[in-house]
Amino acid sequence: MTRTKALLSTLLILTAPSALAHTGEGLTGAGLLEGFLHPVTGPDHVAAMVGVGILGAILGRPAVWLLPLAFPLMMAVGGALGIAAVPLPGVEIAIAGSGVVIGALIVIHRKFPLAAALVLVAVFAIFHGYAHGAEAPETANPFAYSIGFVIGTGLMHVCGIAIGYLDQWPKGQWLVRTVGGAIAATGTYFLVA
Amino acid sequence: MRGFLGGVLHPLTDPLTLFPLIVVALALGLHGAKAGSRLLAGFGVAFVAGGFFPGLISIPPAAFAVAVLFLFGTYVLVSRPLPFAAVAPVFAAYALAAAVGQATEFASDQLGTRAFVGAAISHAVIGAYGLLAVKSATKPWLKIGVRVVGSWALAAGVMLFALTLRR
Repeated sequence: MTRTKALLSTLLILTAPSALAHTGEGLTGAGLLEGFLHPVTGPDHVAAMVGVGILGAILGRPAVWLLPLAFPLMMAVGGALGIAAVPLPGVEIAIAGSGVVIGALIVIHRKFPLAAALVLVAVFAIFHGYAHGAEAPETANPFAYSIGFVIGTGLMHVCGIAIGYLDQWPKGQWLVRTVGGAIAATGTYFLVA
Repeated sequence: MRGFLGGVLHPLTDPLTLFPLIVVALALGLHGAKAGSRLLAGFGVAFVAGGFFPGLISIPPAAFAVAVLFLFGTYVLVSRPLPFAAVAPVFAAYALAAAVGQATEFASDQLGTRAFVGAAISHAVIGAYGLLAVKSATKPWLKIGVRVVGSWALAAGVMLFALTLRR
């Protein structure tokens, strides 16, 4: 408990405003917050990222941590492609489609091979990342932007995992499938809009 | 005292220094208490040594951060500790390069030796905390959490690489 308190104290000190000797671009401003908000302000992106977390929770170990590990990584690769303006067709369709497919898989609620899940998530992540990369603003602090971007994505997965863990109970399963349906509906909306 | 405090706070308030340092600290922890402590000690010695050579090499901060995030992020993600003899030089090289960069920055800002000493202490403390955190992560989900942080570091490195190329 003493070590935990020490670690927590350090974290609190690090986040205390008075410790921020650098103002403006260091941790705030055009950087961390921008990067964090970018993946979490698009409903089509949020739906898929939360869906990945739920899907991982349904599939169980090791998918519950492998999928949220693979998605940000492959999304960063897609982001790099988007920033480099590498031609990639059908980005918006793939993003909308990811919501439909992931939502449907949650509703169907069947276990399937981990390798298939990883490939599916990786492919979708590349398209999501591409869209973010292509839209990445000219920011004064690209590193803070990158960190915020990855953390925002990761937190969406954690939300999805938290929802997915309700799957252990019968009423929870109903809720999870309902959320899956909402994710699929969101994807469908963006597909036809 | 002001220069010293500024030095202590510098790595904590500069994300380009802090986040790679956190990943390196987690990598230190992969080696357990004994080997990790030896690596940390070597890290400290290399950092202090680097402080004597401000301006020796000029590495763009973003490029350095990308290299550290790629290398150490992957290492933490894979979480398979390599032999001590193989990793010690890598940690020392990071410490040296980081120290030269910090010393150069402090020299140009006229913050002086006290600031560097403060930064060295900050680096050592963060390294120790990373070592402690990973060593204490005995539960499976905590170990997985460490690997996830490694993957996030790697992902951030990929994004930063692309963003800096665009600039």
